[in-house]
Amino acid sequence: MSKKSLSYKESINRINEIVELIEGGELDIDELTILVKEATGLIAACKDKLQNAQIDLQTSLDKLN
Amino acid sequence: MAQLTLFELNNLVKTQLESNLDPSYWVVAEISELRINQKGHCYMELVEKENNFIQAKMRANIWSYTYRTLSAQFEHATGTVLKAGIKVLFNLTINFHEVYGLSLTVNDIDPNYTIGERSRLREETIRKLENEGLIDNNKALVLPMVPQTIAIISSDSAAGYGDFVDQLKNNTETYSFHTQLFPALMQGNEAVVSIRKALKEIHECKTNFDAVIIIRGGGAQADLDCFDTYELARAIALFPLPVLTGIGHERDQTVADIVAHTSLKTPTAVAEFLISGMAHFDNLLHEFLYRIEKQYETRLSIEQQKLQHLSSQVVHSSREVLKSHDYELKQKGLNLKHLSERFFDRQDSIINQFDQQLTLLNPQTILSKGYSLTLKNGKPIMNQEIEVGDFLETRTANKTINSQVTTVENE
Repeated sequence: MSKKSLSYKESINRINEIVELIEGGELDIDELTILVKEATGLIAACKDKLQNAQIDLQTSLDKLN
Repeated sequence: MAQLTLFELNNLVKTQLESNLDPSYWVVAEISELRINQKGHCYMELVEKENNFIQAKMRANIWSYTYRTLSAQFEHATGTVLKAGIKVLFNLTINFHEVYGLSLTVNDIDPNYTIGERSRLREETIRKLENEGLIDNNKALVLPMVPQTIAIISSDSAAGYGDFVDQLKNNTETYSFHTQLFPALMQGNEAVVSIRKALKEIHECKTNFDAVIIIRGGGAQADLDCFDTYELARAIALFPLPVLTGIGHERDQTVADIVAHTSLKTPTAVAEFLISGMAHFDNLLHEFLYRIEKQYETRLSIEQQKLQHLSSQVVHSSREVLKSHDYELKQKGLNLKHLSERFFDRQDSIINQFDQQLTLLNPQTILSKGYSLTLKNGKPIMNQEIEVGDFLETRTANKTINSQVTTVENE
């Protein structure tokens, strides 16, 4: 697997983590806002990656060979 | 000494064979060579081997008319063409020709033997792979959550490949895949070597890919034997990336399918599998997003209510405070008014008193009561000596009388 910024699996795990924290209801509004930002950022990044396969530089170099 | 010509000898052999042998026999033999001449006649060399040592060998032929029928039937029944390397159950007639010697003519073929034989070989191969612990090897690899970069082993002229790539590129959700073709022969004797070579090439750059797929077009059931071989199955089993197969088999799975990580029926099915992997992940993202939004909205609403409540508390409390101050101020104002009113009243009455006193004491008031003031030399006479003949001034309320003293009497 090419080295991606954050793999799909790592992203979805972190998102799951955050959602569980949020649903736990123990966060104050500032922590909540920060985590929501992080989660929505990750979701957007994943969605983008689904639409645009990121290819490593390695592959491009291989192709040149 | 009886003497024969060669012809007579050969003829003797021929007649002996003809009279002592059955017209035909069912014989199992392996085809070691096969060629078709331009007239369509099939010439074969048949062998029997024991551990790769040839125990028996004989030429055989199938006349073109027979060959056309038999080969079609055979291929239909077994899914394989007649070719070197397979064992077949032939119905043979033994011929001896004076000139051309011994040969066999094929009258018929029972494809069930080959089917059974192939099954047997297949079972053997599977058994071997099981014993080496390879059957589940590739399956043990974890397929990434979203396989997106794919190495494809296929023949680029095959319809299967073209359709597959089309399907991926034009999927309804516009998911994006990156694929790279590693071309190989997908049937025939060279297929196994070719596919293994492609696998090796992929191995060199395996970090670029999430998975490998081996696909082969649909269409007529052609030669899948290469996918039943031990060598190919082993290569797949040992491969460090998950291998997906979509070989388009109509019958049972091939051995390659069995050792692959995931085997699907056709290249289309493989494409659908990959796309659905993305769709599944996409749905997960949606679900999480929904949950986050819901939580966030709820919390925001709660916090807003709290703020609202606090703010009205502030307003209310401050109003109360202002009201009570207001009241205090009013009270003090009233007090002040009362006090100052009383003060002025008092001052007023003091002044009135003085006024009254002053009025009483005012000489004019005394005069107006009928008294008079007497002056001598402009000064009151009270402490002056008065003598007869002094001039006196007497002031009354409305007159000033000048007189002269005539008599003085002391009291």
